[in-house]
Amino acid sequence: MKRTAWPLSLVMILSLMLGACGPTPAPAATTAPAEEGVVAPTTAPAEEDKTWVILAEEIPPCLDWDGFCGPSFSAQTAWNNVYLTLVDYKFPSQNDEGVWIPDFGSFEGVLAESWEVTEDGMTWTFHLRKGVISAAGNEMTADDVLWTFARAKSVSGTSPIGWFLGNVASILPLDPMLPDATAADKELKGEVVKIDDYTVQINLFETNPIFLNVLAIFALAIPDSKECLKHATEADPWAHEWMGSEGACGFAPYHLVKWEKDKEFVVEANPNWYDPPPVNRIIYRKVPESTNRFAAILTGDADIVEHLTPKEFNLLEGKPGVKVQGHLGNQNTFLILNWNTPPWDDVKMRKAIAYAIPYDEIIETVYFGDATRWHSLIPPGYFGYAAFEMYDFDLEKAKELLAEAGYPDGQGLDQYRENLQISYPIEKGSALEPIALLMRTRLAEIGVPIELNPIPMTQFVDRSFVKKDMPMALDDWETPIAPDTNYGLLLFYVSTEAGGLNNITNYSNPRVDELFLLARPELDEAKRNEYLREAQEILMDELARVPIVIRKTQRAMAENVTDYHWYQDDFLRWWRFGAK
Amino acid sequence: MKIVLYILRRIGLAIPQLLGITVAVFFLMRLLPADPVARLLGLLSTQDAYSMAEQKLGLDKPVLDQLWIYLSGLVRGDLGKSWVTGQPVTYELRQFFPVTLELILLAFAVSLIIAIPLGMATALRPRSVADRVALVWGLFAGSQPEFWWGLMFAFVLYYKAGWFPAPLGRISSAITPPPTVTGMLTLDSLLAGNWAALGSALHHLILPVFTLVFILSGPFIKMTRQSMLRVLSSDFVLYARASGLKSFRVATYALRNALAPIVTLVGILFGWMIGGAVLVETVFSLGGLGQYAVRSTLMFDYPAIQGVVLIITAWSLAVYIGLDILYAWIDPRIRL
Repeated sequence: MKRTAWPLSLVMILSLMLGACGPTPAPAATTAPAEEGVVAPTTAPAEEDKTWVILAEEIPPCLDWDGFCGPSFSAQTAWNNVYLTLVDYKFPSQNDEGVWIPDFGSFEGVLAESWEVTEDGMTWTFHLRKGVISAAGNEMTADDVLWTFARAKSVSGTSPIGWFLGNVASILPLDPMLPDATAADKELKGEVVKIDDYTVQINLFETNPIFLNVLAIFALAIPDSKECLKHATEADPWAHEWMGSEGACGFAPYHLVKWEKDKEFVVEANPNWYDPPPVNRIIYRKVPESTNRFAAILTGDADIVEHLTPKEFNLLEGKPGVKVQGHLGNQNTFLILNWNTPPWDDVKMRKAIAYAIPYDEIIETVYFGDATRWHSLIPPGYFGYAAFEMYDFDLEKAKELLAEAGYPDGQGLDQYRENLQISYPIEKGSALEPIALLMRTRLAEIGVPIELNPIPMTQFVDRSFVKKDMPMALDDWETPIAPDTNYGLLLFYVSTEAGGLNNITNYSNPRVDELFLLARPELDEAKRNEYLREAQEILMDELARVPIVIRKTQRAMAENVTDYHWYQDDFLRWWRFGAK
Repeated sequence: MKIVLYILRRIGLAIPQLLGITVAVFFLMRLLPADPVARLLGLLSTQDAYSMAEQKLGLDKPVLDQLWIYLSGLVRGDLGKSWVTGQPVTYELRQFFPVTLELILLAFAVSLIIAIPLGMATALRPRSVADRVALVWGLFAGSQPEFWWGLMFAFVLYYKAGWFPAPLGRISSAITPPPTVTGMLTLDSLLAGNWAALGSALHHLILPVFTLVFILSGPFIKMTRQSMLRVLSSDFVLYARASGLKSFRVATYALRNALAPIVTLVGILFGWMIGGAVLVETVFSLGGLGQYAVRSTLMFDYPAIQGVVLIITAWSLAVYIGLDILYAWIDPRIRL
């Protein structure tokens, strides 16, 4: 009898047991697919105690739009749920998937109840809603509105977006941001005036056709100043530190109850809110692997999931218990070609590229058909949008243009080897790399050798926003947040000298700068649209950037999640959903 | 007493090493080809905004000043604040380090429980079926991508079979976690007597631990087997067998002599895994040190990167000190 046999078999049995079984599973919550959205809370469950789990690839690392936050999508989603603005869009209709679509020209009051504007368009009077009480127990008054704009004008944060949008709205002047600005320049001087506790007057320095649109953007949300000031210090009188990394002090249907950075962001319904949301508790959780988010929505462990790849959304179509909804709105993918790096300073070369991009192939293989051609450099549906069908996939035409530019069949391009690299963020690799690969293949066919250059997002932002020296790059997340062509021009196409903000491609055309200034205060819609149309034609003719596609933005959600409201910033307003 | 003096002496040696690495990383980071300030700017990239942001991060000062500020903070135990979340780095390290520690402690414990007896058994019966199976597994598992296997296990055992919870975190959201003492959910639940939390935490840990065990036990089995074979062919074993000792008895004597290389391998891997478990952490959304390190690096969050390097180095040094003490305990010929 071999005595060594039994330890071996015992060990194998043990290892099988350890691997296969575990302690008795925790109560139903972890494995219950049937009752989506209903998870037993830690205290005795109330009749209507609903909790939703929303999974995303990251959760807010910070919460101060004026501060240390940078362009974090999850932070922007969070802001729109724990802080609210004076006005918001009306949603008159649903698209064919049942998603509510806003009318960018019509507004309803949120924190404001009603408003008037004078004939000349320069003075707006807002009547605030009464009985708006934050979770901290304070009622919203005109003082909070004043505090909002005073904070914005103080430009005390690292990245003063509040001031920026206040300026775009023609409320706050340039003064605080000028190089020799004094402390006095950073205080409110009658731009926003308190008439009484529930009435505020806003005096513009210029007429502004998109005033209400800008007011609807998160950075002009109205915080609960009494609560926020509790967390201010001498060194930090506007509470940037606390509002940035510790909590939220807003007037909203949800308030922040738990925030574990890099893990989860939990909000609960504000018990004092005049219009309670259908779901009591929302757990916004970080799950870095998209396949796990994908699995979670299928098993019912999640109620809404964000940031799946186009392929994953495609696979979810038709699966029981799950619906994929979205909208083909304004999310855009484009190619950056830097005007400062030859050969991209030659319009013919730029056009050659535009004719060599396999648009339909990209739409089919990368986006599974959930995208469409983009014939402008401004997203469709924006005020003043105009389409110019100038380019299509035509390799012969591309070769012609290449020759006209002086590089027949790509000869002579070797000297620009460094500038023939397409950069894109590694973090966006799953979406952008396939596009880059398709482009590389097609461009090789006409003799233009392209290399791929994936880099970390931080480096990408540095090179695109600060150094502005990236010769070629793919970008699919930059979209103007105000649904207006002129705002888009300001952001991307007005020259830096004339005040353009993120002119990544170093584009400069004096006529475009001129048209921007003409359109900005123009209240006559027809006239304004004329200016904007001319600007877009120039942009498309010169290919300030190369538009590739407008892509669909989607979310996957459980069947009982209803009333998805789409916004142009593509952030979910949890308080707008309905629960069946 | 001798041990205490030995430990103190080793710690004394470790401190200049830690300091050296901190300073080296400090300078190396600033050589990286990206500007951390840019990430913060986003929408507003004017020159003013840039200067303001730079000032906030302390990057406008000369490099040596920055180093001095960092080191004087370090001496007081202040590792600075993360540029991404604004939280103190010490706080974040205290959150993430125990998560990974818990994972690898369990993974190593289970791997060793499986691997050592298995390795011993196969060494005692070379060329048997069990031996061949173990050999193949050893070769195979050690070279596998744990990322892919983790996803496969999640797919089969969670998604298809439903035996395990979703890989969405460390504990079910319905259960109140225990108060934080060590940061390790299992230990804290035990200390608090919160059996529901303990159960949920273990349940969530099974798949990630299983994935790591699958990978780790391969090299452990192989090393145990090789080491045992070497010892089993030595004279004293021959003598023991000739004296009529039972095979099992002989094996235990042999094991003690075979332990040194096994302990070395375990120690090195243990020190390495604190960062090396990042892929499993990501797949199972555990939120450990590896994830933190990757996030900080990609975001060029200098204070966080420094903190991570510091803690990983300190950890490795501590593991090696422990290893040396363990050697001395196993082998009476070694003097500390």
